[in-house]
Amino acid sequence: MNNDHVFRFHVNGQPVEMQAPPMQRLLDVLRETLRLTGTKNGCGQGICGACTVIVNGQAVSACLTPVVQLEGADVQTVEYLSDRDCLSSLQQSFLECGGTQCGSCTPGILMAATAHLRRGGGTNTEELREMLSGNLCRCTGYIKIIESMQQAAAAK
Amino acid sequence: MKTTESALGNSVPRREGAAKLRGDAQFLDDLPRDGAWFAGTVRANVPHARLLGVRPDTRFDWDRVVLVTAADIPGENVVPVVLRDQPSLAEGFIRYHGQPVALVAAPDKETLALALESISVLTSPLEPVFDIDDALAAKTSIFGEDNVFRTVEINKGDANAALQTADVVIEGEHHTGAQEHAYLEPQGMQAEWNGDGITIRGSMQCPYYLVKAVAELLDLPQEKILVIPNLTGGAFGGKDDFPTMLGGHAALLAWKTRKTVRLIYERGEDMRFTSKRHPARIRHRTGFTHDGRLVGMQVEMVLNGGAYGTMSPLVISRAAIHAAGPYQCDNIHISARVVATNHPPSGAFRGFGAPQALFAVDAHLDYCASKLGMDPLELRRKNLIRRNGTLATGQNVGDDASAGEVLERALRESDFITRREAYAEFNREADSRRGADRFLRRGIGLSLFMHGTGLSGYEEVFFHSGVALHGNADGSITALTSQVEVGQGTRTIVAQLAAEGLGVPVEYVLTEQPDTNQHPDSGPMASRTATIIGGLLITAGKRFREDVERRQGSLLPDPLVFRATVAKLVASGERLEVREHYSPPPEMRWDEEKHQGDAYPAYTWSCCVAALEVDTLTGEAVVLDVTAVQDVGKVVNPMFAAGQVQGGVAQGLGWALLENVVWKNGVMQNANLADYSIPTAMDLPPIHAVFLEHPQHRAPHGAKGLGELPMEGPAPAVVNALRSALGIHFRRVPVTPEIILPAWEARNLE
Amino acid sequence: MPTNISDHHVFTPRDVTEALQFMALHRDEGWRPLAGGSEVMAQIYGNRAAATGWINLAQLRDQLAGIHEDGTHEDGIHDDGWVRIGALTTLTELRRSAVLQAICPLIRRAAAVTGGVQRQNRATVGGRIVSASPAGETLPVWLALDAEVELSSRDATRCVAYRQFLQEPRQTAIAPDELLTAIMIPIRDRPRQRLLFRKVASRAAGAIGKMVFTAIAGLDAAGHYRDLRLAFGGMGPRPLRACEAEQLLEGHAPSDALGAQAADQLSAELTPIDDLRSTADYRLRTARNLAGAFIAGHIGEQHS
Repeated sequence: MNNDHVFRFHVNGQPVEMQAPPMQRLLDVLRETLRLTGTKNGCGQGICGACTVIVNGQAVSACLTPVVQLEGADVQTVEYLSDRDCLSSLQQSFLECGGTQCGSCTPGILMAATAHLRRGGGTNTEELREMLSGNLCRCTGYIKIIESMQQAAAAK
Repeated sequence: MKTTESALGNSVPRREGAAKLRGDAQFLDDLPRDGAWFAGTVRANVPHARLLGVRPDTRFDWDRVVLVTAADIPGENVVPVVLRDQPSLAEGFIRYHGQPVALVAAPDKETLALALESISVLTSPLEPVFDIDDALAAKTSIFGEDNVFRTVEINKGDANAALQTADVVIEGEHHTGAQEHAYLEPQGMQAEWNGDGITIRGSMQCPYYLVKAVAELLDLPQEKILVIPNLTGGAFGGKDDFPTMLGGHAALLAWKTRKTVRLIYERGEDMRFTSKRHPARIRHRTGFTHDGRLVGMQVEMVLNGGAYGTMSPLVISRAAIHAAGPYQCDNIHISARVVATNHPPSGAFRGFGAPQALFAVDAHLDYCASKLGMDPLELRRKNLIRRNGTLATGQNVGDDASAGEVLERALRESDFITRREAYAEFNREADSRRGADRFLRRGIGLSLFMHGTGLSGYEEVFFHSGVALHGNADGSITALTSQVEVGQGTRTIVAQLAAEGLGVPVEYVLTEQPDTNQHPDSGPMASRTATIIGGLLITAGKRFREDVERRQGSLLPDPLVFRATVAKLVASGERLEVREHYSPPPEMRWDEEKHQGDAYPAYTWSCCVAALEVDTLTGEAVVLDVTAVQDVGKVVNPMFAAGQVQGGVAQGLGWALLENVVWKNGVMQNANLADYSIPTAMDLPPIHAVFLEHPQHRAPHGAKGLGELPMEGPAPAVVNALRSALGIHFRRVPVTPEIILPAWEARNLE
Repeated sequence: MPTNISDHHVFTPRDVTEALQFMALHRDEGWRPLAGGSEVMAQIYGNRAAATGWINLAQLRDQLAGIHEDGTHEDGIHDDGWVRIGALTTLTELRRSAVLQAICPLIRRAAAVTGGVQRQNRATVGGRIVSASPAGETLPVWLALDAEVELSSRDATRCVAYRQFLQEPRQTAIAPDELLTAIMIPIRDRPRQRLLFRKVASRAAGAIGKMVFTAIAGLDAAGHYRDLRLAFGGMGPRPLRACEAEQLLEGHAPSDALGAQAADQLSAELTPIDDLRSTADYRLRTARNLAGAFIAGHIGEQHS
């Protein structure tokens, strides 16, 4: 039987109205329906953080967020951060400091970092390590990710 | 007139970095699906058995999907890596739990899931063997008569005689565990039938492996197979040999369906059924004079290769060559075997056997120092390889001998001596302290090691790697290699290296996604891009410039003029292309049979210092900081080099302390990223990377390999730091709190 | 991958009353509440979901999220001496609550080590309590605080001691038509306290604990233990209090000898198991050591 419902919310500032099974995860809505593939599927269990997006100002795992709980929500993905080809200051810092290597974890880390910096979260190394603890990276040892965030925060 | 400053030594930003940061860099699963079918794998659910067949449930409508079994394979049912022992799809026998038996492709995910649930694998169980001793006793037959994939013996002098006359002989046995690569992008391949051949895209390190493998599997000429590596989200060796199987599977489905098929593993499937680092058991018998001079070393090493040979015959070679470490000893016997068990096949993983060997030798050396009553620093200073010293294979290292320098530099950078004393004081006073501090013990330890540059022995000859440069109409130059961007920065440093040879700004050099039509086979990764491929690119660049200047009839030092000339020549119809192939330096000698001679053109020397703190209430060790000093010959891109070291150290610390693969009947039990613990940001300390640059003379720019090396230092440094903290010698990594705590409590009961 | 995500049905009530009406009408149809979704979604997409009908509580946050110092219920009745934490309060909200930090810093500690930021932003107090994971980080804290859970149905609201609420592994005393609406924390006069929270896991973040230990020790004027609570996660099929040890140690002054006595009592009282995360042996050693060091007075922080 078709159990789809109609859902309305905003993605990257644009209104979205779509029909979907209510327990469809936001990850699939973004990647498959909206073709916003910047959000990555790393584990599907809310552990690796590669699918981190911002919902109503908070960093969440898109793989654990059912579309039924998005009614009226404001969703932001990595695609929202840069204005066309012009990188945001956070993205620019990642480029200059070596904060991205293979790039699989990068969109999720950028979104977690954006949510943290927006709400005025602390930027000493200890605070950033804790803030990053829901995002796994296998390439960098996190050091240049933290440096990137600190450079971006200092530039503000 | 402006000349170009060197493109080497600059932190040129990552070429594909902006795309990765914007989120529009496309990994395999990000490519538009365009009707590609979904694919999945039917797997054996026993570790060892006779395969009787598969039974599709007749209640499912099999016309909705396409099923492939071994019987469908038009060519040879083999995953051709080294030994050709592994079938693409199981036939006759099951050798490990999870072995692929059949493949299914379906138009949508739901149909695929239903189909996979509607098929069972029929088997008749055989006795499995998981332990290396049981395998060596040939309790059950998996490979050949003795279950040994390969034995490598290395002899230098007479180790037996030396040990009989040594003043002191010290024995030690060390173990290392399996390690999961845990790249963030899971394995995946897409294959497309294009009428008379196959195009394969995917997450991989070595596109040319796949061309040969798929051609054999489908019985097609190699020119009908086009492989296009996609941007790859981390690899670490896990996408070296394994994609040869996975790409074959995707190709079989595309061939049978005549469609495009995308086969992507879910995380749990990837962790359970793809290769891991070889677990190892390594025994040392080491002879010294009373004053601590090494006189004889016997090393007996056994690696657990799992069910099929994959890269094991090459891994065991590198393991053996590194088994005596960076130490001068005139009498060495190394015996290294890799054995078959009913675990999933072990495979390539950053370091390729060397980490296991280097862990054992350097942990053992600290143990020996304690038995000899010597400072481990003094024991190393006394025995490390110096100028014109000879390694286990008899190779004279000549001037390439930085072991002493990296050691002394690491001691200074880490303030080792002062901190060691301060920690000893801290530990002595523990009981008199109040509060939680009374339960803490601190220690600092180091490891000294080297990593051979490029492939071992003849392998580099075998690959005959090539690169090409060609001029474009706008005066830019495209550098062609088959080195894949997996995060290490290949696209950027290939441009830097070619620019160096060409004498042009790095922006003039274009690098693109390789494919096997356009790009010459430049061999596997293996820490080779900066050094072996780099050498070829620099030589090619020089030849390209000479060619342009010859055609123009004048020298062109001004890069703008050079560029304009390239453009003019191309516009006038001239073909500007230079190819360069690797051949080993003529003076290098190698005897593969005896493993004697010049195993590598050069060695990267390194010293790793780790300081840590143990909570003796729980046995948890927290690493306080790591200092990694390495002589890499020449740093191509300082930002990338530091990133490689920091990431490699992180992976090494994970292997040393956290990453414990829990096996049960040959199946990984903790196959998810929560229970298999790769380090989070909160688990890692500051990591201080220091580079020495003593150019090696066998590469035009002097660079040596870097990618694998940094992961080799942490495990022995951590175990040596634990000894310094607790006075206990641990013989196993990962050394988890479950090992540390009982050992500490037992010691305190003594 | 689930065979069919379309098999999952959702009912989204507008308020608590509607939710409870629905639960009463459909009590035997296997509907389960959906709070922050972290557990449920991992189960569905891991093909091990306990249900296919879900009552989405997203619109009940106004009523069921929040921390009320004076214990005020949604119906306006005051309950002095209690702090009321609405079931849909997220772990992030627990972490940031100044009220809870003043009452008991252990709550913030436990919330801070439950997954990463992403999980803490979604996971709820109530969801964690109902899923009753044996090693759930916050659960031993509720046990140590003698918390009560408020269970509401269409016809009644009852409060149950959290200790009684926990039953078989991953099972609770909640009835099919009941919704967990709040957890109530008693505020008692405890002038001097020593507190401890420790999660022992395979890494510093993002792992399920091998064991969790939390302790609250009141000390009387003479420096003797009063109202001692020792709670554990991962040491049995469900979070538990070491009641016999608590009784044995009550009234004694901290000392190394008492710490050793505590450790020995725990060896008798706790029966952890081997599993893929750790061993029974290791779990017992850490429980003995941490509790022993706490009872001896070496570890833990003063709180008043």
